[in-house]
Amino acid sequence: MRPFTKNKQSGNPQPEACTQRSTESQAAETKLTGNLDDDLRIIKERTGGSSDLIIRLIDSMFGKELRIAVIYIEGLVNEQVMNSSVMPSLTAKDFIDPHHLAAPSEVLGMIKNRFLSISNVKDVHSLDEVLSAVLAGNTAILVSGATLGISASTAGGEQRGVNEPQSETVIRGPREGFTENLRTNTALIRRKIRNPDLWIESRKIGRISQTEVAVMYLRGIANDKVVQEILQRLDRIDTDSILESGYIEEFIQDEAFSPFPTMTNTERPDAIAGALLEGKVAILVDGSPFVLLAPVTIFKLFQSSEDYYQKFDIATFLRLLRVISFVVSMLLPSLYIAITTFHQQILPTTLLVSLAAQREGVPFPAFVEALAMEITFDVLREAGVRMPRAIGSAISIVGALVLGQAAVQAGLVSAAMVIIVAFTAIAGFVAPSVSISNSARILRFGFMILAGTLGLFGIMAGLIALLIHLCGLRSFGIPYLLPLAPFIPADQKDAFVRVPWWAMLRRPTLIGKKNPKREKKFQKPSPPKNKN
Amino acid sequence: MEKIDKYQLISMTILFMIGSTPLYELGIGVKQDAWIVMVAGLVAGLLLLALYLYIQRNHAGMDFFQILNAHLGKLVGTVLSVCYVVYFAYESMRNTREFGDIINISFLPNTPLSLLMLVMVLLSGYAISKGVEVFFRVAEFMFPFTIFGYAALFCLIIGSNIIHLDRLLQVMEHGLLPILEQAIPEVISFPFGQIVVFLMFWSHLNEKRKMVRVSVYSYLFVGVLLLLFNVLNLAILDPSITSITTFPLLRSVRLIQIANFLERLDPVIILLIYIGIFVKMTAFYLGAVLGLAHLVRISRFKLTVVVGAAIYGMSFLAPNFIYHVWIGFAQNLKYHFPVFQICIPALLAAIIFCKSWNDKKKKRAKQPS
Repeated sequence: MRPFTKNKQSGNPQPEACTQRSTESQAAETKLTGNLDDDLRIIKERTGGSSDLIIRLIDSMFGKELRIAVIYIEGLVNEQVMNSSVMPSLTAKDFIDPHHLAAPSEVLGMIKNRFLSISNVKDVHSLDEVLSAVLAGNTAILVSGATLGISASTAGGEQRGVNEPQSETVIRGPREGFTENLRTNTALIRRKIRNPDLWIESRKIGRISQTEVAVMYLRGIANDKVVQEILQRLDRIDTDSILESGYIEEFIQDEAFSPFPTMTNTERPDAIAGALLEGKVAILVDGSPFVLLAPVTIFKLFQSSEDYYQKFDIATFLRLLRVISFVVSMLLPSLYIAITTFHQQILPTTLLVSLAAQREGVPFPAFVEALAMEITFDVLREAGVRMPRAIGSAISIVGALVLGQAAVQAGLVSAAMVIIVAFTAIAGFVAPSVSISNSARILRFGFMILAGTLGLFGIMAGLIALLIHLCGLRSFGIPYLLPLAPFIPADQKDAFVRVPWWAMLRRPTLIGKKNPKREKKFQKPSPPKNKN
Repeated sequence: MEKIDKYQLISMTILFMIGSTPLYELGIGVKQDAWIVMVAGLVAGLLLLALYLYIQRNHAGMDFFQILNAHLGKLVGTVLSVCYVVYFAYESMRNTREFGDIINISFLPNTPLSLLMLVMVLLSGYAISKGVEVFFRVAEFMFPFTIFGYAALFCLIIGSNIIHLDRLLQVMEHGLLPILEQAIPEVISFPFGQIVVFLMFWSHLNEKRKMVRVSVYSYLFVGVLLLLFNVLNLAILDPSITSITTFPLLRSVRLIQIANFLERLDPVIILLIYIGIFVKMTAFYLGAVLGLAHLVRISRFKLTVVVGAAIYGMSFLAPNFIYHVWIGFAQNLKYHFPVFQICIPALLAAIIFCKSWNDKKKKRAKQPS
């Protein structure tokens, strides 16, 4: 019974307190009053008495009138640091010479400069600062009678560790991936580029969420105009929250309506480091392991960071394979529709005969057949992503057996169509960046409609329209089809092909033009000449 | 002003000149000597190109309509400008109708012609609404794929062993005169003289010094390419069959047969041809839009819509495809196009030459004093 009544008591006066606060807090908002009870009461009111806000009152050696308040949020702070560094320094027996009576601000100075064994300590002057420090995981220390306080950096708490990235796996290359913690992420990048020119500019975006967003670039290599443009666009964002870097991407990308991404994201610190060295700019968002990169050109989306670690010949082969796979995953169903519906004469006679035999019992036109199968596959794929892991095998049985084999046996779809859809799907997974394979996934349906109405001519018209769109697309001022249109001979070394590292003499022309030179010439290895 | 670079100019010149030309056997009136007609047309076209380049070189940064106005006065300049806008739009429409009909005949017989042509005009209009720079980049991107396509076609033809060069024999059976009669002005007007529309684009080039060299080399490259396909058609099909076929190239391609797998490739070749047609019709369309922009002051988008609607409307003029081709080859090439491609530019060049000569004389007269 007691807890209930207690709750009721503390719950009842709240509405009054709220109305009171609105008049009172406006005056008190900026400065700490110096009256510890008042300050703490306002803090409690503003946080609605939330149970994770911990306020610990300590009597100092000066007696009751000089009390110390330690304010933090449970779970956001590192308990170990609290127990071993913050609390001992405040409760120490030989805290202060009892004969020497000091002013509250002096006591605070002593705590800050002599006792507190925390490296990053700041002064706070207002209640808002206290609150934002506490909400960021720091510990605020207030002393009765002092009109300022201390915020000690104690951020910690439970976090996911640095793991292997889930979305971009490699065979050769570093295995670490970004986490949800912004500081961990910046540190992961700094560990790769130990250079003072690696600059970070931070912004707090989101009126309610107050998310920290960091813009990272290599000064002297990144184009200043691009950096300024990105910062300006970030400053223009006025929204309540940023919960993932996808929010930022949609706010600041160049073309709002394009199936193609004009910014890319990655989970891999080594990919970010490589891009920064080319003169690109990274945008890190607290709470998201996906770091944004800009500007980006379309061919970069077909490149994996692994390309630079493997031998150049296999890397080149894989790049070509990815581009072809992209085209296949975009066009294969539509080509099948166009050829079987309008242009059967292209097919070799034997193939045509076997296709016709397969399609004999199928009641639908090729277009409907393909559309149904593609939608079915996308349903399966989405189910595969969302379903609980335990029923995965059930889905794969239903998907592969019932929808594939049984549909063919029942004569609903032709076996060739199943092959086409399956290969399209597999080809879609080759792209190293999910965003570009999603472009193909959407465009595929448009091309299927064009193929179903206008045949190969429709596909061609669609491709030309797509090309016009791509030629007009820019990513932070950089043409999207960069080394091909406009054609830049020097940049061909890192578009479709990857030349060996000793031949990567210059950074990409338009992105890294501020500091184009990358390495010394004539580093091609050759066996030492035998002198005897 | 929007800028284009030399690679874009090269790609555009080559794709533009390819256009729909490989489809037809130009100069087939003189049977097996058609390729000599082509050579004659190529050389005469080179002279024309020199004439256009001479006009442009003397007026860096000005396009054709500005040059016309500057030298012929406001009234004559405006009248000629209107004529050129109509001419460009008409050329664009010729390609639209031509390819719409080809698709309709060989590809999609049940699809209405009006829809096919609408798709084509909309595509070109979309490219133009994005601007000169984007259109040139589109051509630049298409260029390597197109050249690869024609190279592959050439390899397939060689691989299937259907070339019989002896069919070209009896060179100049009837002497030089009929060849020249065929070449002038028909083969000049199509395709070589059509490069007149580049007078609208050269002023956008960022490296003016490269203009002449880039244009001439691209012209020669594409001239040789067209000549090659001209010869191939004759050698594959025999002049007698070539002369009665509407699209000899498609007929030649049907003869390709490799490993019983690569055969009947004509739909693929039509798509390859479409790249050239798209570039040519869009280039003329763009020329008309840029020209009209000097005459009326409305937004680029509205101009694109107006000119596009005009091209689309005009493309229904011919009652059928045969008539359309006949009008083109028998009437336009002989009587109408040479006016725009030869007469007016020559007149303009003569005026420019006299003026500059006069200026020089004046300078010379001044210098001693």
